[in-house]
Amino acid sequence: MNWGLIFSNGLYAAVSANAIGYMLVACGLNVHFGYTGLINFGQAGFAAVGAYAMAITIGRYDWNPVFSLALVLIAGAVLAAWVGAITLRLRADYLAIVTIAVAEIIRLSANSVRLTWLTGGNDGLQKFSGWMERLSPFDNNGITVWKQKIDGYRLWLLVVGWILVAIVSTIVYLLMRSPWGRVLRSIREDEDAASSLGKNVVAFKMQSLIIGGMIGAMGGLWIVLDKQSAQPGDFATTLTFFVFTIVIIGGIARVKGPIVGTMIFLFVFTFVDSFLREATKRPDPVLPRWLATDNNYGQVKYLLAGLALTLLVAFRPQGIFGDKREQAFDVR
Amino acid sequence: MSDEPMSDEPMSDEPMSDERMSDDQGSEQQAPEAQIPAELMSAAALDPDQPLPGAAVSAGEVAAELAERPRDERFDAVEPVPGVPKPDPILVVDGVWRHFGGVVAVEVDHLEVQRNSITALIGPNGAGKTTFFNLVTGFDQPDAGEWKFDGTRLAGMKPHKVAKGGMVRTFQLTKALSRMSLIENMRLGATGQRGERVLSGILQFPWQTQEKEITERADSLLARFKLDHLREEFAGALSGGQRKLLEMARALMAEPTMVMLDEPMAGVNPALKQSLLHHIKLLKDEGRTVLFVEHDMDMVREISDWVIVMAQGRVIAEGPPDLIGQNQEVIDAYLGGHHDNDLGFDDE
Repeated sequence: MNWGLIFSNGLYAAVSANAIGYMLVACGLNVHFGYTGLINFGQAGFAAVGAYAMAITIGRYDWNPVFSLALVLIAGAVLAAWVGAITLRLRADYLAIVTIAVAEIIRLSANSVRLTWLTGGNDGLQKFSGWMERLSPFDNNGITVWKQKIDGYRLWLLVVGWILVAIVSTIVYLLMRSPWGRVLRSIREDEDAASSLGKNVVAFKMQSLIIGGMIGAMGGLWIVLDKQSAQPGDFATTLTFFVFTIVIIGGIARVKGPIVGTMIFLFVFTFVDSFLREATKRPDPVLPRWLATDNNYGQVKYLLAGLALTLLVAFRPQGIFGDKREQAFDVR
Repeated sequence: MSDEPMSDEPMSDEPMSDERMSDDQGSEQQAPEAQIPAELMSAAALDPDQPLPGAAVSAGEVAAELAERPRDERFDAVEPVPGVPKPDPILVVDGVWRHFGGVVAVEVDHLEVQRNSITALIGPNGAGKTTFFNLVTGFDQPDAGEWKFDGTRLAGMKPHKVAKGGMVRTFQLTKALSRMSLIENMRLGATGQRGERVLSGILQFPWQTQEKEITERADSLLARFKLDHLREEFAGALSGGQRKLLEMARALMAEPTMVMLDEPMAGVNPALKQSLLHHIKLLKDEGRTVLFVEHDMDMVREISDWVIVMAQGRVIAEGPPDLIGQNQEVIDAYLGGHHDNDLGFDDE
């Protein structure tokens, strides 16, 4: 057993460019669900439009990256405005149903044969990250930190990504402590009370949906920039539920919640994955063959990681940064 | 409890003592004198200078104030019939109908509410009082009807616009924002906040001064409602009666011209009731108009200038509070379906 490698893999996964993508997607969901109480089950859809906005415009049409980046944000905002226009006048449950449907429509469209000319179908799109590679000031060989070889491009993604996370988190923090954020929280607690005090609930929900959607779109972009490939499979409903888990682990409606939640979530997943790979290595696996083999440990990984996350939520329901007092009140 | 020798005087810094208090007071029965309820008399008799819980005035002052009950002369010339015109109406309702399937919820032909008055809306359960509130404040849409508030047509207007226009309501089931502190609940109530726009929200300077003013106003209202010691607590931790107080205080943050209170006394202990009554009277002194739904007839008689009675969706009677109990329509409406209810009409 190479415990050093197992830990090293887990720790790198917690801070990698992929983790930054998850942090941003979760941060957007935190704006929706944590602060405003909007049950958005389609956050993967927001990530997908962000990712594909760049993958298509650069990968297919060779746009200027500046315009492409702007389109990433616009795509998130437009999707939010569209979903919001349909559902925000209805009760919260409808938003959940519509968002999960919209996210699936987006994923299945990207996957469809008919749209392969645009989205690349199941194989997805590549060759849209060249501009980012060219911007990188780091040597291509990159660095090696404690058994992890990080190439120059990913090191660059890491640096830019963490700055982006810091900027986005600061904006969210400033927004949420402003009177604007106070209105969002009041909507989460009781819409009717908010409108009885003269707050235009639909408008505030729409603003929240758009801001969270734009952050989610940036997150999707970072996920595919890290992989240098955008595929529909990256944006399945599992992504939405992973980020829900992340938000809950980190602490609902806490700015640091999505960041630390992602780190814990990806550490647990990668740690279990690396551990099982090491523990089932032939010729003399540590684990008994009825439990896991080197062919099937992928399933056992989800089982164990799920168990660990369940225990975490069971023993700390308010999340890492949550306030335990908040759990005492039945909100609805 | 402190060293005070009385058992029915709850200390205001004891947040969760409502039930116990009301029990204590129930046993303190004395013969009522004039129109003043027993619990108030006993409180006043024990120590007139002892402040009532939740009130910024002493029990003695409240008792004296309520005992006087100065008549509002503006109502002297108003005939006690349903839909009667008032000298200076702030709210005029015409033909507002709301049916739920085959059930008639509200069918108000004409109704006027006098400006700067305290008007009570009473009626048996299911009379349509709350539905009427919902319709007038935009929380529900009528099938037909027009109504004007301070000269502005409100039909079809969204609830937040109604509130911004100066008509602010509270709810029968209180809507305290549980996971927000009391002071945040209060600050939310202020209208026209510059920091409620996204861009000026991120920057701090556009709203900082205003926030300070709002906080000062919120603090003084919290103090007036004797909730200041709970400032940083979550609203979800309050007792039912305290939530009623908070909701009323929060509504006042919006500086409304008209306050609509849906059963402000439901679930409030008698001692707290007196202070709530006092607060409602203060609203009138500040020039506001109050329309409230209430089942407690003692309270209706104590503070209202005018009473409107609804039954089966219609306004069946109107009149001054001391005469309304003698109205045959009203007696029929109540006794028809609720024979064994004590309505508090009978003066021994």
